[in-house]
Amino acid sequence: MNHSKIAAACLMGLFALAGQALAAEYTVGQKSKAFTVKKLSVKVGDSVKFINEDPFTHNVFSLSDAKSFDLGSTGQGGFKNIVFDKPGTIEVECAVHPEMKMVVEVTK
Amino acid sequence: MFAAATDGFVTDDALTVTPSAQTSPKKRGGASPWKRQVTVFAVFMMLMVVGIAAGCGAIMWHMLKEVETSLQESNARVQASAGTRQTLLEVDRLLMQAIALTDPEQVRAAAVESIAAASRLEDAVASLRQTLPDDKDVSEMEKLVETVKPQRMKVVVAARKHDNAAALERLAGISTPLKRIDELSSAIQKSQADRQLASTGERQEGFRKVMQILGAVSVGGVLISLLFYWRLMKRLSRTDEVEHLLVEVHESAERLDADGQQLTQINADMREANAQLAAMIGRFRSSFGAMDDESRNALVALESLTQACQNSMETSQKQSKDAGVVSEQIRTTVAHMRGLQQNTQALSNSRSQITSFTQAIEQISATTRLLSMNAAVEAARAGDAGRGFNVVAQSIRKLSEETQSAAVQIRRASDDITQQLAATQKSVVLTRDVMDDCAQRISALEQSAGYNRQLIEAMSAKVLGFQSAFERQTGRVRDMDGDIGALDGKIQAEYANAELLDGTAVALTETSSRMLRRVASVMQ
Repeated sequence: MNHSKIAAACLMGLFALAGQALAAEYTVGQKSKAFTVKKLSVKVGDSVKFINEDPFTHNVFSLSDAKSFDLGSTGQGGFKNIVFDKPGTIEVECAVHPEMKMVVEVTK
Repeated sequence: MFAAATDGFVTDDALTVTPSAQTSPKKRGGASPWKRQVTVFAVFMMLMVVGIAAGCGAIMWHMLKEVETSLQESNARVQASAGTRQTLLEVDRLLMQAIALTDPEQVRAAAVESIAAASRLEDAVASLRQTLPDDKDVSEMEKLVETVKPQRMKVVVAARKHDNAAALERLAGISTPLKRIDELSSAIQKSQADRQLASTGERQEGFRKVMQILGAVSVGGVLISLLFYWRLMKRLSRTDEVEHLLVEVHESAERLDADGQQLTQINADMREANAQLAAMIGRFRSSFGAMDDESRNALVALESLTQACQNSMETSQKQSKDAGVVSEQIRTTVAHMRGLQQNTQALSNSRSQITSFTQAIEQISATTRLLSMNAAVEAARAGDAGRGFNVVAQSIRKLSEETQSAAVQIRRASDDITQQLAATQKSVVLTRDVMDDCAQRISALEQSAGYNRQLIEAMSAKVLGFQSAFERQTGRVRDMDGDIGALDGKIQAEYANAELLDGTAVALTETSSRMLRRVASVMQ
């Protein structure tokens, strides 16, 4: 019984590692008080890298039901990563500049 | 007086002006060292004042700069700490507002505002990190901010779901770290205030030390000034002597001016004389050059004349020798002619004997003829008996006739011989006379050639003597040319010296004029 659980856990871990190995990373810039990509479609498990290309600070957060997060403040040249692990539509914003918005469509 | 007036301005060797000597304080009176001391003191004081001012300015600038930098850093830390505390309160307030509100839009707006405030909180902590890079409190604050972030978002999510109980529970869960962040910020603010107070005390101490240094330097400068003032007063007590000295200097400057003008005039005259002398030397050198050329030509002619004399002497010697030979030959010829004359005379004597023989032969022939005729007569008388005798008589008569004819021929030949002998004797006499004359002329010619040879030898000796004298004369001309060249060099040097002297005179005049003006300005 215990051996079967251990084997199942190992199998799941292998699947997770395989999923991470197959996950893609996307890059979205924050430039001139706007996201460089207005809409981005990703798969579950993919990550998005937000890079601040402005000479002032930006913020990246989302209050969407699919995924709520706050990556915090990012200075010039700084970046933050986030992995989208659930499917859905996620509206990404900047708390410092409310006009900055984009949509990430996460599919299976 | 002139030498005394120019002493110190003109060197002995090159008559060059030495400007340094004009301003050399060692060759002036005692005023220049004092003036130099005053100048040095003034410069020293100015440098000291400028140095002290610059040093104090630099120190003050450095201290002010440090104060400004310290204030800026402290203000930045204080502002960052205050911003941290303020944003912390805003985050807490906005989260509470999001929980309290019921309108979803208002809740969302409050949530977004709380996120923005949390972002500013991060920025404030980051500012603290920049101003305090190694501070442990700031590190702890950073960790707390990152720790609070997920819990804060859970509060927001719960508030949006209007699950106020859960939201309050989450909010209570992060209140402790938020309070800790506030305490750390407050501690940083307090420490910065203490540090500002301490640095203010240090700066006040530094300013007090700078003021003490300035006071000490000022006291030192005042003491040095008083000391110099004392020396100056002591020095100015000799003003009368200085005024007398100035009067003497004024008179000396006037004499110096007059001497300078006189020197200028003398130098101008000397330059003019040098120019004339140079022109004369130029002409002399030209003449000496022509003389040298002529002397060379004359020497060549003399050498040719000497060679001609030598050739003529040799020719005369040869002619004298030939004349001696010819004279000897003429004397031999005369001796031969005398022998010939004697022989002719002997031949004439023989011819006289022949004439006598011819007369005898003719007499014998006549006698024979007479005898033959007598025999023929007698033979005729003898008839036939005498016929044979007649034949003999006839033969004798024929012989007599032939003898007579031979005698005639002999006489004729004798006469011819006599005539030829006479002509020969005459020719011999004439030839002897001519030979004697020739011998005399040759002898005279020999004597004349000898005399000529002696004359040519004497002339050759004189020509050689003249040549050697002329060569010596040419050497003297060359020596004179060299002396003239040296004299020309001396004159050129005199030109340079005159120019230097002229410059010296001008400098002397200018110096005296300046001295007069300065003395006049000082004496006013």
